[in-house]
Amino acid sequence: MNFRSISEIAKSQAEDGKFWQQHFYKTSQPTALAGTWSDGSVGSGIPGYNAYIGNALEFKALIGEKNTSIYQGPETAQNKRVAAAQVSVNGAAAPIKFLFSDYLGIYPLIDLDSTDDQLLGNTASLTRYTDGEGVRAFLVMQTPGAGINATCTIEYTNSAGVTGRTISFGVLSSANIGALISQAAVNTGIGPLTPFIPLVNGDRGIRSVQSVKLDAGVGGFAVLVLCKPLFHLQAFERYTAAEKVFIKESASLPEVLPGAFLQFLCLRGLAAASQPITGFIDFIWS
Amino acid sequence: MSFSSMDDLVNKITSGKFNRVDWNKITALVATAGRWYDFSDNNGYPVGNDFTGTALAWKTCDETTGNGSRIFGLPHGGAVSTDTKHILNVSAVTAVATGVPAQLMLVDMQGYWPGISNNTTSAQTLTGTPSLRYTNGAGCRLFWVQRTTAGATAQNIALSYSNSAPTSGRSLPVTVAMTASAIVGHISHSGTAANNYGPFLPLASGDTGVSNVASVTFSAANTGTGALCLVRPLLTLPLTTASVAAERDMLNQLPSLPRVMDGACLTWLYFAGAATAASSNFYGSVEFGWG
Repeated sequence: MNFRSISEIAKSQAEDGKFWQQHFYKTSQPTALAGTWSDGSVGSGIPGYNAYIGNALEFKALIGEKNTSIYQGPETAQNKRVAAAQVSVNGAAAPIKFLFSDYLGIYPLIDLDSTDDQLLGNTASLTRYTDGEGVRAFLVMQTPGAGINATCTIEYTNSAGVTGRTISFGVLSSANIGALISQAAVNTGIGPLTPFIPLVNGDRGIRSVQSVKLDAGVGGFAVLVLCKPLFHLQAFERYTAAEKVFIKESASLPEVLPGAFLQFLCLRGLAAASQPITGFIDFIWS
Repeated sequence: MSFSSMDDLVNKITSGKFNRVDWNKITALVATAGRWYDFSDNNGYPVGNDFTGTALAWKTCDETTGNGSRIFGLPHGGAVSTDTKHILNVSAVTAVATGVPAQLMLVDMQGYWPGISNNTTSAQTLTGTPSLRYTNGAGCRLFWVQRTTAGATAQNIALSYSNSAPTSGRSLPVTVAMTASAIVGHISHSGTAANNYGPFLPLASGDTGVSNVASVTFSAANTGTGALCLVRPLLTLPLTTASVAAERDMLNQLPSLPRVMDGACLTWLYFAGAATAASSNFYGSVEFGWG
């Protein structure tokens, strides 16, 4: 069921106990350059460090449970909604934009030194947003790379089920594990200032990815992540919490599906090494 | 249908009448402070507009087919009639220092006339009858975007257009100067020089929209070509600081809930407050609700 009124939202929290506040605390974060995106899941704390464990090149669906991602409270018959969220950064990297996303699955250990066509396995498939509508992809360094540019081409199946969609874009590998490396266009020559791999003309999402190919080795290994962006928060300065009460300040109630592997991406305003990040999310359901 | 109350909005967006789209664009041009630029042709997601079409012939643009070649508008979730769709939230960020301060304007591109030459002083007759998502072009505005680099000759632009009455034979009320040597993507009548106006061409006294354009005339011949675009502005979003997301809640913060018509082709215009470097990245999201 959906919420039918403001009073139902209030009642679910205040009277019915249909509310869960989950705190998270990341004691470390990937080192990142100013103006680049990094993967907040690659950091120790609560939830735990996400090592992207899986078989090389084989799709693995991610299911959130216990401390693997930001816990959303007890299992319920209804999908949960994000009522409010807060995050603050205690390091020097602020301003930081946090993009909270449901990580749906991964293709681990893509060899960034190989210029062969790396065929990806899809024995498993998406378990949430199963048609791929609105699903986006990003590449994250899994082992250190050489910090150089190349053009990457992926072949994927779009959310309409059309296979053989190919798109090329720049990658800029990084020596920092957890750094996002995909760019919005081919060989832009500058940092990965945009989180997601672009899509082919007219496509609205990715259902699965069939292959990855680089035109030059850039060093290291990367993991290709499929995710559904959900909501964002902007921290302006260190120690100062960014807060959002969604229905009041961002007319929405972002939906979180059962089993969501909820994590966040960060756009750093300043270069910084590991730093504590703390916050909480209020989940409600009807 | 529409939203009749906050309760109604909550009911509808939590029952599935909600969509979020994340977009990104990387600039192809070097922008000059004080000028407006068309972002629709930039690479990223969605793909860039190639301004395909027959010279001087109207080309309709929409969400699902784009211009017939490139689906360059934000995918906002398809037609929802008899519901009405509205923008709830919008955000954008750039991590490039020269990308701020700036202003982004979201427009619904109704279509354009491509392949108009800068290189003649004869009136160039535009063909085709625009099929618009707004009755008689109410609130629709025009801009010229340079599609091949202009030469160095100064020139002014004049139009004969139909307003939203619709009354034909309307003219620009003032002298409007184009920018010499304007680059591709520049809305070349915008800038800080005398007689520059931007982002839109000014309308004759009393006019509030444009339904058609009969002809374009330049005061002097110059090299270059461009497209005359007909758009409906929906919202603006100021970017003040690098790496700080600009956010607008169009319900609580700026109560307006801009309506998105079925088939709307949503693209961005960009006002450069600084000399913006090429290959600057912009990333953002737009959230829609309907009911």
